[in-house]
Amino acid sequence: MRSSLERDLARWERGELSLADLGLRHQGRAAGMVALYQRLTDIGGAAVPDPEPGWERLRQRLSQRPNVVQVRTVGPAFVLRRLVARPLALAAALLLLGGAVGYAAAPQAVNHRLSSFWESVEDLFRDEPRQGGPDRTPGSSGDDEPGLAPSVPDDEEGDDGDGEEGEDREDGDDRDEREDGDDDDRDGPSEDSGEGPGDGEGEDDEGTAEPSDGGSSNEGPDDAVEPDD
Amino acid sequence: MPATEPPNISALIPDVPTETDEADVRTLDLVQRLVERAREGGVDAFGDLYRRYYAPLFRLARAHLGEEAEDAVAETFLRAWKGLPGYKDTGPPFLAWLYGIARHVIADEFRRRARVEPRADLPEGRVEWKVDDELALAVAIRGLPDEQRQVIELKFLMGATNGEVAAALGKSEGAVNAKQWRALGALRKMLEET
Repeated sequence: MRSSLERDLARWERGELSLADLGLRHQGRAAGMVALYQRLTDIGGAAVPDPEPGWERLRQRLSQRPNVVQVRTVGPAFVLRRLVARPLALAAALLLLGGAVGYAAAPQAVNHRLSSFWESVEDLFRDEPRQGGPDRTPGSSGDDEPGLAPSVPDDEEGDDGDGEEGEDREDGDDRDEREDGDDDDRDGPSEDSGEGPGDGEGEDDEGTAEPSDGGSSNEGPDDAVEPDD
Repeated sequence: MPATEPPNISALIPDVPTETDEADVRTLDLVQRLVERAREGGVDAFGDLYRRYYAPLFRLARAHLGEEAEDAVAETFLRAWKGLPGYKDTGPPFLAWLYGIARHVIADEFRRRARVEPRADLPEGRVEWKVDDELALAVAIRGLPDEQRQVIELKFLMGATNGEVAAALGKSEGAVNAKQWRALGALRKMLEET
């Protein structure tokens, strides 16, 4: 649109220019704009119903809301949990799972080397020196190969293994408890705001997924023993 | 003098008796006090706000939704009531805040209609309504760029002055005036093409 037409239309709107003068200056272009202007003005000035019946209906729908701002606050603990703890837990679960899978899929020779390595590490912390070396013949004492001599050595190593599994499980329980606590925290405001349930569901899904990863990682070492049999 | 005086929001808002019993019932100060009392849970103060802003919101809703304007206004005020505790007076008039809520309500209604009423199954009455001039104008308004649409809706449908529109949009009055005439030019073009 030409700026002179805009300027004259603005002058006409302010009452500084008559409609006749506007028509003389801009002919049909101004007439169309003025007609549309008046049409919109008529719509804006149309009669409206009495507001009272609508207000009476609305008033009954207004509950006495509390005088608090229903804003879901995000504290540093929430940010820490969301941005740090969960990725770390997920990374740890993936690491355990990957290690277990890798151990199970590795050739026996590699597994044997690994077993030897762990035995040598255990020897470092053992008070009494080991009676037999890692290369002793089957049936000699069976301390280091549970599959060959399950009686006494299995108890020792089994205890360690069970203890570790138990610890893992306890970690999992702690995690569950922590997330249950989170859910409880979230449930409160979500009911108020009406927007919470969506978030809560998503986080519940994550919560159910993580323990299963931990479970599979706990199963890994058991699977890894089988090839020795 | 122009054939039609530009609309003035203060003149369009009906002068209804309020519990505040103030002489300067149309002042911004009064609106601010009503808002503050409504924020604190004052239903009567909120009722005053409802009466004051019912007409502009109804006209806006009627232009876009037709017969369902009443429901849209009620929904707008319901959401305003819920959102009032978080409302902060940052400069733009309270009408602009209500306008923002009303835009969401109208958009939600269009989304609902799109889900519930496929175009092929529109009843005959709705088809007749579609060819109505006012609806064609409303469709054209929705086709404008955002700021031009806001100027047209605030000024013509809701009756805000250029100054109020400028305050609502954070623009100068000159910029609002230019956008208004550009919007009218675009609207005229769209209506001629349909």
